[in-house]
Amino acid sequence: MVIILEIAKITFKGGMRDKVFITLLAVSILCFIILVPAISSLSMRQPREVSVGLSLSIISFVSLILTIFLGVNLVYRDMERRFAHPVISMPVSREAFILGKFLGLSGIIGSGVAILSAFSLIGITIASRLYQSSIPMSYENFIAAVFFEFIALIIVASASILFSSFSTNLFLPLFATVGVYIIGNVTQAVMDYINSPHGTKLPSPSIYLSKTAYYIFPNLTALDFKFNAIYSLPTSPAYMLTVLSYAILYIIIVLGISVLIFRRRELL
Amino acid sequence: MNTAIKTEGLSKTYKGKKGKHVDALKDLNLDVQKGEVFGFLGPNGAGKTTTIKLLMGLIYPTSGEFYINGIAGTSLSYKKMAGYLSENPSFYDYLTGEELLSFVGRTFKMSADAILEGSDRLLKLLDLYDARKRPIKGYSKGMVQRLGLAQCLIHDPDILILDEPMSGLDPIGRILVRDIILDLKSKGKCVFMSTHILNDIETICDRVGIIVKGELRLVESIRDIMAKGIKGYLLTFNTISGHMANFFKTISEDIELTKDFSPDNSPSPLLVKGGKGGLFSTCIIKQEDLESVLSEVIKDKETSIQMIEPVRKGLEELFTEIANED
Ligand SMILES: Nc1ncnc2c1ncn2[C@@H]1O[C@H](COP(=O)(O)OP(=O)(O)O)[C@@H](O)[C@H]1O
Ligand SMILES: [Mg+2]
Repeated sequence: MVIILEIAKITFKGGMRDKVFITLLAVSILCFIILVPAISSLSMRQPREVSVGLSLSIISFVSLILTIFLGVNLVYRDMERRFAHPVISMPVSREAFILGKFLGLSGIIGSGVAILSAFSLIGITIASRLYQSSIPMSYENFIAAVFFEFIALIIVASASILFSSFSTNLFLPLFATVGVYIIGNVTQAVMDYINSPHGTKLPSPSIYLSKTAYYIFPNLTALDFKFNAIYSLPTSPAYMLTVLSYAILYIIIVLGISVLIFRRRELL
Repeated sequence: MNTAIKTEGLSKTYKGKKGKHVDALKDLNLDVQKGEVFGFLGPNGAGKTTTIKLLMGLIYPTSGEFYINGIAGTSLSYKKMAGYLSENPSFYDYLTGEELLSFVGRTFKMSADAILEGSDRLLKLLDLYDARKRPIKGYSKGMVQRLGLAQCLIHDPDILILDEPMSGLDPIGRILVRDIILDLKSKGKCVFMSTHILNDIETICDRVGIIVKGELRLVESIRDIMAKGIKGYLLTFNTISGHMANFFKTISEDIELTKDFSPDNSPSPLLVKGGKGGLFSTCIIKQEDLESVLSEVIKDKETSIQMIEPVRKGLEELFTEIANED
């Protein structure tokens, strides 16, 4: 356990000292403080809704880029540049290495999302002060939305670890991780379509394929609470708990497979 | 239980693309004792790095097994007793030298005090103290190599497995590494080091193994290599009589005599006192003739010996011979 935390700390440091990470965060912070209030004030009627929507979109876009970039960079590069070799030559099990990497990565993603959210709240506050909105701001909903954004991203991060655990080139984990994010965001819609009256007319192989994809890929739509945050709609805690358990189970399975693969991997 | 590293039929075949297989290591059986400095010698591509990566659990054997301090290589715990320096060490380059050592120390579950003490001592010893707060990214190759040595020593392991520890170092760095290894030897540590550079091996190592094309061709102690390698003795005389000269003639037809030495020319022109402007005469005799020559010399009042030096086949010559076999 100590060792897992050590690996996590080292990984976290690597992310925090990454120039791309720092630059991206700095640029986004400027966006929140200047751009978001400016754009939101253009929509005179719903500045708060627009600013929340805009902020959440920026947070999810920027942190997605960070996740994919850092996920692939921090794990794949460990193999490529043989940073993992001295670590594995110490009494560090392969599973500790994978778990440590995942924890460290989650830590960076969490910090990124937290920093972005904090600054976006400043922008949102500025925007809501400019013009009064009809619906009051729900901070709980905002926090729930960014929290589940974070959970969705660590699922993506676990996928990037899985692909990095066996790939010997950069592009496979990179594109596969982006693929997981995209597919994870559409399987729910596809599934809803299949279950609709139109869907029954589809050829059975494509139904079969869609269903398989639905069960294999993470259902990221379920983790999307942006709508509730924008319109301050109530969210059921029971539903959130179900979704959270689903996410944790999914991550455990993906990391388990990564460990099985990485155990057999030769560090040449 | 005096074996530090034991391998039994250790073999490794790399599976390449298009079914191309490389038998990098074939049936390695090795016993390295505790407290021994073992030189694992071989030309490039002989399988040294492959062996060491197998021992460190970075790659897995195709067949065979190994034990470190009696613990099977399939368990993780043997790594606690070992320190490893790779051929081209590469560490998280965003860390500083000091941070790397403290990461390693904590991974080996050392106390904070012990880490601080060890880290300072090693950074000073390896001349990295001034660079300790700089990221490894900015280190030169030699500095990374020295930091590599620091990170494998910090937890004071009983067994050191060093892959080409001398390569990439300047002469001063090499002397430093040599002294560190000699110090480890004096502390009773086991050092298993691979190298294709033979400088200093005679002084550092107790025993060497020579591996060529994945096969271990020879394992022998340096002392035995030195003793067996003696081809003869070079005798240097202060004065030499005609009688002695003739005696040399009787021992062997093909005795090598230095150019001015002629047994027919008696008294020998070399029967000259050594010293200012004087000549020394030298000759090389076979190992088995040493005793008879010496007893002759003692009897002969006109002959006096200044020096007897063994003439041997060095490690270098032996290595080249074995490497070029078949
Ligand atoms: N990853 C690999 N894939 C295929 N062949 C390899 C690989 N690594 C090493 N080899 C081959 O295995 C043999 C032994 O290599 P190595 O152990 O690195 O030798 P040494 O360290 O003695 O120079 C060489 O023929 C080398 O080409
Ligand atoms: Mg090598």
